[in-house]
Amino acid sequence: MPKSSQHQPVQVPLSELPVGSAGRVRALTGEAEVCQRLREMGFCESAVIQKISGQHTLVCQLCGTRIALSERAAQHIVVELIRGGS
Amino acid sequence: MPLPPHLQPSAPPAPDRRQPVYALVGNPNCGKSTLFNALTGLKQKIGNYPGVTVEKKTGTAWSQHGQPLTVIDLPGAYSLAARSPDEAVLRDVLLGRRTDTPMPDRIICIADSTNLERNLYIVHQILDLGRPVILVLNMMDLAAQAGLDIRVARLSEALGIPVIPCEATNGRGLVELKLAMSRPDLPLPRHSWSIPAPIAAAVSELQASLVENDRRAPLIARAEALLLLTDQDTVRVAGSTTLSPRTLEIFQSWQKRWGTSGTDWAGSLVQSRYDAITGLTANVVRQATAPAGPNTSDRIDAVVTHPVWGWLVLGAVMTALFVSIFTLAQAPMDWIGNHASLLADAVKHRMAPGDLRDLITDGAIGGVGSVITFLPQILILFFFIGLLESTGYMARAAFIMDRLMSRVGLNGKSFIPMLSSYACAIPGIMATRTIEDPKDRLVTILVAPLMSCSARLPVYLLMIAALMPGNQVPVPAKVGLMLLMYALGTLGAFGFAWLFKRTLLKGEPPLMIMELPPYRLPRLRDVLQQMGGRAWIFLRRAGTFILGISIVLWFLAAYPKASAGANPAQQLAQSFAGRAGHALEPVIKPLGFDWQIGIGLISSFAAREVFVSTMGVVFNASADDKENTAPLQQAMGKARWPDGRALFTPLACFSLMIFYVFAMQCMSTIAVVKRETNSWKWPIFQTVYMTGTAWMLSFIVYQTGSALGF
Amino acid sequence: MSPELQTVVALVLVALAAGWLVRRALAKRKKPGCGSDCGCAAEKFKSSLKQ
Repeated sequence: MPKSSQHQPVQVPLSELPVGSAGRVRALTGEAEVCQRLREMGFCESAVIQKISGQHTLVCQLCGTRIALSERAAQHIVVELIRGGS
Repeated sequence: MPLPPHLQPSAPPAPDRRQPVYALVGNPNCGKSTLFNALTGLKQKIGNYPGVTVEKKTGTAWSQHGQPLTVIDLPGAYSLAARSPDEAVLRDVLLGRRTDTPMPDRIICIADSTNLERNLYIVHQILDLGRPVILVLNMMDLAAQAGLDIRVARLSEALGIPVIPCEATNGRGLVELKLAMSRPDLPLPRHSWSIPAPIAAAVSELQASLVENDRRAPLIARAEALLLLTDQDTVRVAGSTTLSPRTLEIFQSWQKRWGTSGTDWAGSLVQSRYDAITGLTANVVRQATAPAGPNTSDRIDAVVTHPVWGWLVLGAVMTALFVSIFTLAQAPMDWIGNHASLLADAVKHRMAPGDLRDLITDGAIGGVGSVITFLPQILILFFFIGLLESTGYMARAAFIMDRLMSRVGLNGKSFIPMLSSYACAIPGIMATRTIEDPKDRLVTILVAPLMSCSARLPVYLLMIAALMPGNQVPVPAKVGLMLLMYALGTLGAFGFAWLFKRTLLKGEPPLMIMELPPYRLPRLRDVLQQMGGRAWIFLRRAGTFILGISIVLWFLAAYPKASAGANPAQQLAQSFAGRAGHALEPVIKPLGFDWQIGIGLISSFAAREVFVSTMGVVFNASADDKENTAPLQQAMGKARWPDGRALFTPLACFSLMIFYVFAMQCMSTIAVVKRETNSWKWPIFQTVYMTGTAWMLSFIVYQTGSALGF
Repeated sequence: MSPELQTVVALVLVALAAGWLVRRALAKRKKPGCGSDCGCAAEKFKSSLKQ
């Protein structure tokens, strides 16, 4: 859930991260099966993701590899914005 | 690269000592196949794991002493926790659970150096097994480009195993790898990591039971215990030995305990593994130069995966493909067709009239020649597909299609099996093995044959040529018709997929997580090699299977012999083939087909392109002018119904094409579907629904067209 | 070649072809697969399919 206060940066599901910006994974929520799959692909807590394109089916960059995710999968990943889009 | 001091060069092994068996393991897209090919060359054997529809690839590499080393290429995976039959086989082979494959002695792990952290996850799991491991860091050139500096020696020191930097595509590092593989003794990994306390108790209990009741070696037992705890939904496949009841009991009691206390045991295990790996890589990998901003691949992707531009790009690519099929192939096709006719004429002039002469000209040359005429088109099709695949565009196409496919309830990953069905449905259906959801997989298998396979191509081309005779026909019209047929097949596939997912096979909305490999320049040599391979397979099939069928077909069309003096049409009518065609005629007459076409439809069950051969046999056999063989189109143009109307009217040709788009005909496909679904229910259902649809649509088209006066 | 001889040879060829086809069909039933005839590109596409 997006939390915003002066001290804590905004947290959103990956699907809502603006295109071109970067986020750090804060949590994986939702179905356990999916979360585990995501973790194995490298979406661990504190990993940095850069969103390249897309809203419903999106492409993001994670540690040097490009990964495509469907929206439902992306909703399992909660990120914290660290760098705005260019 | 000199050997590090702790690895000694080895002495030649004693002659009677068995050579170790190597397993090749790694993430998908890490270059494992390239490495396997480089190690084993052409000495590969591809088979099946008994009981499962997973491919088994073994090959032979050569040690530095000239001894053969067996290498098994195991399916790629991100983790040993299995979610599909492929991954289950990987896990079972490594744990020694399969009775048909001995546990490999040594394991070669391949990691993509540009993403070491994630690639090391499965390596970490494998190190748990306590077997000798060689770690290959592949794609070092790409890592260097990304500004990464990897301290190989440090990594080797920390893990206690040989670590070999490599660029499999350039062949660099292969010599060192073979040297390492040739050693009679490999060090065992030095490996320890802290399992979270609540889990540790469960692990030791399970480990003890596995050692005692399942007779596993202690280290393997520990690895297996850890795996059991991360395998949420254990995928079991045929051919692997089951666990003892005591072990299962212990496992279930722990599961219950954690279930009530709410511990995310699997999640915390995964996390602690990653923590250990991060600790390791922090020491070993350094970002020497800052990574560049969006690189070329990213910029291309921004366009190609764009909601609007992406579609346009895809459409343009498909159109370019079909246009080239029609324009570039024309001259070679004519050349082949003319030479086939010349050959037949030459035989006719050299030999006395008789059955053998007819067999050769009408049967063999007529049948095989008509199929081979389409070789140029097939070559172009596969060249393009290979080119796209080589550049990495295919994965993006799957991604774009995912948006569309999820509307019908299919996974974007289904796109690639469906796309390969454009070449042939059989590899497409086999490629569905990587789809995890069994319902998604079944639906993909059921609709894959609707994607017009390359065997239909000769039929379409023949019909388009007959429909619009003469060379003044504008290419756009031909291209348009082709595209229409392909579009119909694709729409049909999507439509039925939607229907099936709504009714028979209702399931979860799909989920896609897919890695997109970086773009690269197409490797022409690979593409041409593959194209050549396909061409060879096509020719071989024509020269053997289709030749055989054409010969038999000739017989069926020439016997029983009519009384002397009967014209060829009468002869055909009362032959075996003719009678079969006549029997079928009432059913297909409303579609605009006569008994001669009926013979073609029946023979298409062997292979769709045999329709063309059949037409070649049928219409050359019934041609009045027996002295010269006419090219097929001309003969077809002269064909008539009993009442004198032309047979191959534009409407009839169109109706026939529609029929071929939808009908399920290829026996080999039916056999493969039966094998992949393990029952006759689905292939029968598939045949019925597809052929039924084909008949109905053909009927509608022909009757409506006739009513409208076409 | 006399017509009769031609007929004999032709029929022998037909029998051989038919026999070969039948044997092929039976062999496929035992060991199913594409028989390397259709151009299996499964491995090629699998690599770009893997998630």
